[in-house]
Amino acid sequence: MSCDSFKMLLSAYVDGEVDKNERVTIESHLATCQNCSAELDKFTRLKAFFSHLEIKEPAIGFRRRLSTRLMTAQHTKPLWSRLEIWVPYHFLRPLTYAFLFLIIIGGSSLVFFKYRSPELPVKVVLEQSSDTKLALNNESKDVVSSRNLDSLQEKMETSWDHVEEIYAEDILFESTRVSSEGEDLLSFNFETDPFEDLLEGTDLGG
Amino acid sequence: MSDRLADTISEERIVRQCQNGDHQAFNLLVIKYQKLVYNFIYRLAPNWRDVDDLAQEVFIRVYKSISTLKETKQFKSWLHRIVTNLYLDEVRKRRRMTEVSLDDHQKIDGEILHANSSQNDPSRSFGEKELEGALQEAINHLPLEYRIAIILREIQGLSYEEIAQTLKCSIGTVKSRIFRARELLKVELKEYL
Repeated sequence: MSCDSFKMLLSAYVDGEVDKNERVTIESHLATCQNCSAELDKFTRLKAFFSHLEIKEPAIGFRRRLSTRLMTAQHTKPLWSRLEIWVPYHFLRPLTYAFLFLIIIGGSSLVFFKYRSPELPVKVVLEQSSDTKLALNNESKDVVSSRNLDSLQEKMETSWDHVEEIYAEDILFESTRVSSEGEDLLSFNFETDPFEDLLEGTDLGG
Repeated sequence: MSDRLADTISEERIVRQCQNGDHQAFNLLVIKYQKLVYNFIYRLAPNWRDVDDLAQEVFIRVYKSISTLKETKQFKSWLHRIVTNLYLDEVRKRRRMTEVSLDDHQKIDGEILHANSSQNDPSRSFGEKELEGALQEAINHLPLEYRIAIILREIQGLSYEEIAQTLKCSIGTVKSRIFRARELLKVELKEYL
C-alpha cells in the first residue's frame, strides 16, 4: 500500500476507528515510514486543536423560553398530531393505509357495478310450502315449464324461505305473483332462461 | 457494564417515556442535550445571532416528532440529524434572502466573524484565543459536508457509525469526508502545525 493511500487510514487511526488488522498494518508501516509518521503527527496535533474550542452554552432562561414556545406549539398542534393522544402513532400509519385501501376498493367496486352492462337485481320472495311451484314464462311461450320448488331448492343449494336476490346479466325480466287454483305461483318473463343451467337434469314436477 | 452502555439504556427509557407523553422525561432530554445542540449550531454558524432560537426550534421539532423515532437507542444520531437538517434549511433560507454563497454565510449578519466568540473571555490566553479563532475560521471555509462531518466527530464526539446514521451515508463516506476536512484544515492551519 502506498503512503498516499495510508493517509485516509491514518485519519481514521487517530480517531480509533480502524479494525485490528488495519491497526497492525498501519503500525508496522509507521515503524518504517518517516513521511507517514510526520502525517500522523499532524493529524494528532490538529485533533488536539479542537480541544481549545470553548464549549458554548445557551443563554440563561433557555428552558423557560423553550417551555413557553412548546406550550404555544402544543396549542397549534395539527389535528393529526392530536390524534396521537388517542391512537398510538405506530397504529396511525397502518390505520391510514387500511382506510385508504377500503376507499380505493369501495370506490372501484362502485364504479365497476355502476358501469357494468345491464344487471338487474330482482328480489324473489317465495313462501316455502310443499305445493309452491315456480313457473318460468318465456316471452315467446306462455309457459315453458312448471317446476317443483323443492327440486329447484335442492339444486340451487339455497334457502328459498328467505328473500333471495338473483343477478341476471343482460336479461330483462319481471315477475308477478299469480294465484291459480290454490297454488302460489311466481311468473317470470325472461328474454332468456337464467335457470336453464341450474335446472338441467332436475327432476321437474308439475 | 460500561458507563456508556448504562447511559444508553437509561436514555432509551427516557426516550420511550417521552414517546408516551411524559413531559418530565422530555425535560430531562433538554437538560442533557441543550448544551450539545447549542454548541453544534454555534460551531456550524458562529455568527448567526439567533443560535438560541434555533436550538429551541430543534427541541420543538424533537417534541413534535419523537413519537416517530423507532430506534430509540439511536436518539443521539436522530437529534443530530434534526440539527443538521435545520441548519441546512436555514443556510438555504438565508442564502435565498441575501444571495450570498454558502461559504460566505458567516458574513450574513454583516458581523465580524469572532465578535460573538470566546475571544473576549479574559481567562483564556492570547495563544488559545488566536488558535480558536484560526480554527473556527478554517472550519468555516470548509465545504458544508466536510464541515458537518468534522464537527460531528471532533466537537460533538460522535463515532463514525453515529455520524453515518446522522448523515444517512456509509461509514466509508464518513471516513472520506473527515479525512478531506482534515487535509483542508492542515493547509489552512499550516503555520500552527
